[in-house]
Amino acid sequence: MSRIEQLISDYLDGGLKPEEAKELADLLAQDRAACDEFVELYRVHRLLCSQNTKASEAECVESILDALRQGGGMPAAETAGEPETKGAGTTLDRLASDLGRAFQEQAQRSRNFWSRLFWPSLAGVAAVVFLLAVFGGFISFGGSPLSAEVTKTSLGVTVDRGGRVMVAYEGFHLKKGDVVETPTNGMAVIQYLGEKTTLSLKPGTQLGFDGTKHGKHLNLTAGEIVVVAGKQPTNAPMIIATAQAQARVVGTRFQLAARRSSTWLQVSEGGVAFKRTAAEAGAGQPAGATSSEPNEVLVKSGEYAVVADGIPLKTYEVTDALNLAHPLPIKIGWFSYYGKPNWYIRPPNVQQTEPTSITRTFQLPSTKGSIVIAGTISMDSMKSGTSSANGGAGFGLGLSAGADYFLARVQQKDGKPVLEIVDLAKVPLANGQPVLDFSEEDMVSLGEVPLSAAFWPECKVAFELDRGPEHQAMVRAKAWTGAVEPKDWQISAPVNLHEMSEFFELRLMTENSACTFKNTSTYLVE
Amino acid sequence: MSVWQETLPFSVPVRQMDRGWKFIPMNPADPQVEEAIVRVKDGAIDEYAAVVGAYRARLRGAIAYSCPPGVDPDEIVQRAFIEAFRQIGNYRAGTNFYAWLSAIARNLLLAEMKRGQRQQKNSASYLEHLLAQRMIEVVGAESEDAKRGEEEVTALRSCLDQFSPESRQLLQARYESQTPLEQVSQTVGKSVAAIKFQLFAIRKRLLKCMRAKLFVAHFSKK
Repeated sequence: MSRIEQLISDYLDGGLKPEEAKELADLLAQDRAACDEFVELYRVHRLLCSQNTKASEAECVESILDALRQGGGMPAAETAGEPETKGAGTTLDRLASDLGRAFQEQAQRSRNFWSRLFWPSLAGVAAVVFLLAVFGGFISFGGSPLSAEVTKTSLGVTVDRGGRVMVAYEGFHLKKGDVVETPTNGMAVIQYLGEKTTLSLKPGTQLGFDGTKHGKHLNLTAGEIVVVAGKQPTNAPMIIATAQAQARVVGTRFQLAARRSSTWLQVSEGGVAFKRTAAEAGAGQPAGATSSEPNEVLVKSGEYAVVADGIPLKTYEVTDALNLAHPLPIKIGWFSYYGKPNWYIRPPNVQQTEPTSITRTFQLPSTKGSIVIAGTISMDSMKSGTSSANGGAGFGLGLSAGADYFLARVQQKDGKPVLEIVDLAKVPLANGQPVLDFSEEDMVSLGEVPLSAAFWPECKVAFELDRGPEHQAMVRAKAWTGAVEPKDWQISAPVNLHEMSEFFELRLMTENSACTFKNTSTYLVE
Repeated sequence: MSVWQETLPFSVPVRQMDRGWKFIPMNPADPQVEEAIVRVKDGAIDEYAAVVGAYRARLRGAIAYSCPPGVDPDEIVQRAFIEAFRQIGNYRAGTNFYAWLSAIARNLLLAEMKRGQRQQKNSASYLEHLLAQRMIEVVGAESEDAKRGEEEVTALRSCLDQFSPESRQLLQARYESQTPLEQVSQTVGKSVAAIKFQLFAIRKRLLKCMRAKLFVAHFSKK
């Protein structure tokens, strides 16, 4: 056996030392024929490896179907990112402690960003709806009297009546077709006369009164309202519609929030029937619905529900951590190869038992709006013989859309582990968009954080993928060690998603190491 | 049926499962699969199980043959099935679903290889970077024929049939049971170096045999 064959044998069957790997590489670089022979032997080796799988055929088929059912590959309109109910308290507790208010603050910032893009189109839609309503004869410019009046108001609250904007003073009588709008620092309370129904409009709310002969019909186009509803006649229900959902009031007290891409309902007394808005004519299924969900859910006292594209409609018990004010935990489409030798996937934990260099991909739901992925990564063992000279050991967590990547990593440099985050602002542009490939040429570190060489601490990473209209999105990320979480995102960049973007993935990456990815969780943040 | 056919002479755990590849007839359009695809298009997700079951093992072997270090064929195969599901509306009934699926898998693999190559530039070993680079050249230059990879699997199987039981048992221990070489060495009373030497020689013979069979297969097509 020649020296080169000896080295190839050690590479294929184990035992090749780093200096020998370098020697083999040098030999192969000089000898093209030997390199080709090596490639062929390696391919035979991979073919032999592929004949062995610890999972049965049935398990493999089932794992693919699981990923599809969980929404990984579902066509956009049917994608099901099922909310994670089991252990939700745990993940939410962690969210509250680890990421806490930063998400909410960031969500607010996100809304500010998208509102610039979103509201002009919403205004356009509203105008069309209004004109249709006018020409359809449902309302008149004068409007029919409505048994409701503004009972409390603050400065800046207005009523739009057929394009004429009026100040909403206390005692202002509303008419059908009126739209009440509160400023970002103002509130209003509206009382239905002759019954106990009141509506409290929070700052930044737009609420239209489209009442019909048969009950109360309201349109919440933005903001949040708290409703205390008296018992409604069965043939004249109170219905509140948003862009995504419809709540039919059975008689009760509840909170309804129309957010950028979703509608959240929390009931404190009684019950509210809650359903998605009907799809466009002919579609046959409500927009954003998953294939097996009920058309309507009854949200009872102490429960809440969320209508969002790609997330099954169901009710959740309200807890301190699970409610209207917190991000909604959603399940991601885990690729689960049962019995895979070196990956044990027990959501939300993924453990790798053998040190190696590999990437594992997980499907993300194609939910519109903003989703945040957070997790804690630790290195359990390092491949023997690993040193800075052969790349060192490390791990990373990234997002992918087609061939684009986005990454935070820990990498060994000069014998010390260093935490790095890509600075997207410094990444070159291609067609006006950042190139998010993970490569040395493209990547610029943002504040390397030297860690102790004596141990590999747990590293916390959080990403936000904030989908906007069309193919626009914002990607944000931060990574940190220890208890102090950076207040702001360390990375923020707009990306233009192409068709493959709906096939979004979360990637766990390891380099010459075995790692544990703990509490890898996904949340809808609106 | 196990590809290795023989049981080991020494005591190592051998799983009784139906893994190993199954021979799947290469009909351009399998009527049962085509029917399942129609039902999947109508919204019956569970029917996709029949499609996956028909082609997964076949695709896995083909993809594994072209995978460089750090790329998991199972992952590529799974992503290919998911992507095919997403695009199933674009599949024209009665054409060759496997060819369509394998084209998706091949594109995913090439994208993954290129990504991996960039990643390896600045990490891991120069050796794996070199191997990945050459594999991209080789795989990229290969035809997009859906049979690519399958012929190699068939050739491998045929060649293994010609090997001695002892050689097959050693390959079984190395690749199916994944028995540590130290344990094999103790069981058969040879040094680890001798076992490695034997394995290397078997792989070289396998390669030579496969080359001959592939040459004949390609020649007979012309």
